[in-house]
Amino acid sequence: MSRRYFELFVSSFVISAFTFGGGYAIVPLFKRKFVDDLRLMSEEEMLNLIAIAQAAPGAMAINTAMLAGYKTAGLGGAACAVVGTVLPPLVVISAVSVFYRRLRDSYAVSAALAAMAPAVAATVASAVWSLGRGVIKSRGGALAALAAFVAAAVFRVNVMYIVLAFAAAGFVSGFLRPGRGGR
Amino acid sequence: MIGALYFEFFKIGLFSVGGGYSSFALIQHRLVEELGWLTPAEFTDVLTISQMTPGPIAINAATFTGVKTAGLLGGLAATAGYITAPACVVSILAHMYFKYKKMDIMQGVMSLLRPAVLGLIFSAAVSVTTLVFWGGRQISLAALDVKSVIIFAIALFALSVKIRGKKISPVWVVAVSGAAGFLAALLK
Repeated sequence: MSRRYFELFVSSFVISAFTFGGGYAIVPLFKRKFVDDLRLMSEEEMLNLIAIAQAAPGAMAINTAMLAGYKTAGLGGAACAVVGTVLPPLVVISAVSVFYRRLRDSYAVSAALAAMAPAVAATVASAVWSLGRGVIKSRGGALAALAAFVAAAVFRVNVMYIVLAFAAAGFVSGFLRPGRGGR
Repeated sequence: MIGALYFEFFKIGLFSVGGGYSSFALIQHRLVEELGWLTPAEFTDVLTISQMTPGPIAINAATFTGVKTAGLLGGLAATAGYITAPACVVSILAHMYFKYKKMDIMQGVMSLLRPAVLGLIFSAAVSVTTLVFWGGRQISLAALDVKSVIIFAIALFALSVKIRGKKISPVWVVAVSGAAGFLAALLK
């Protein structure tokens, strides 16, 4: 058990330390570590956890880490994942808070970040591609993905409301067609 | 001060709906405009530094605000405050999900949510890629940032090839491109 805790802590630490920018930048790292390398969950379950993470308040990245920890090793696992995620920012920011204006104005640092941004975009694009092939299996699924995309990209609807709306729709249609469970 | 920081960030965590970016509006409203713990210039620094340093941006913002207002303990208190409410809600949802996930109704809900989440990630991929390619300028061929497109293409290629049957980790792709940018700037 303690090895599992340690593994969760280290994985969350590494994922957090290499997440630059917000939100979904964490998805490719998360998928690589928890789905492909450690095989702690399937792609489908990862998307389930991301959906749950977004139905709660707070940052999606930390909520997803918490859920992965919870799934693997219960509440203790969730705690390990949270500590692992929070530690890199805490260390880095405490260290740079003294000279952050120099960091902010450093040409080399902005060049590094400018070079990293397209790479991060590529990791997200690549994750969408490989997840899409595994998850979209029916016309209904493709339609749901398209609807969520349009709501977020075109109408700028808050993602939490999108997730809750789809959850409610799934719940209602499950009741209207008992036994089939939407499959 | 430490207690107050914890409490303010507890509220920010509770009312951050729809991801980390929404926290910035709350931080600005409460800590800059109402309480005056941060000056507008410091708030701009919080925004910049959160995006420059590794980690989820909301956590970065909480840590940086806490450290700026009350040192290391302040950073800890703000971070702990921020994650308290989400942790409680997530624990409850997780408990329900793992208890009922085999039920038909839950599987039906999830089978609809998975493609929806994929659509959301796709939307994020599109917006982050347009931002990288055009940097907020009007989208046109002339305004295209060629350097970014090249890095994007190389990164995409690196992510798709296999070395000894194993795909290259996104951690390496991000780290190597950052190191290359850093070195290129130093050599210039």
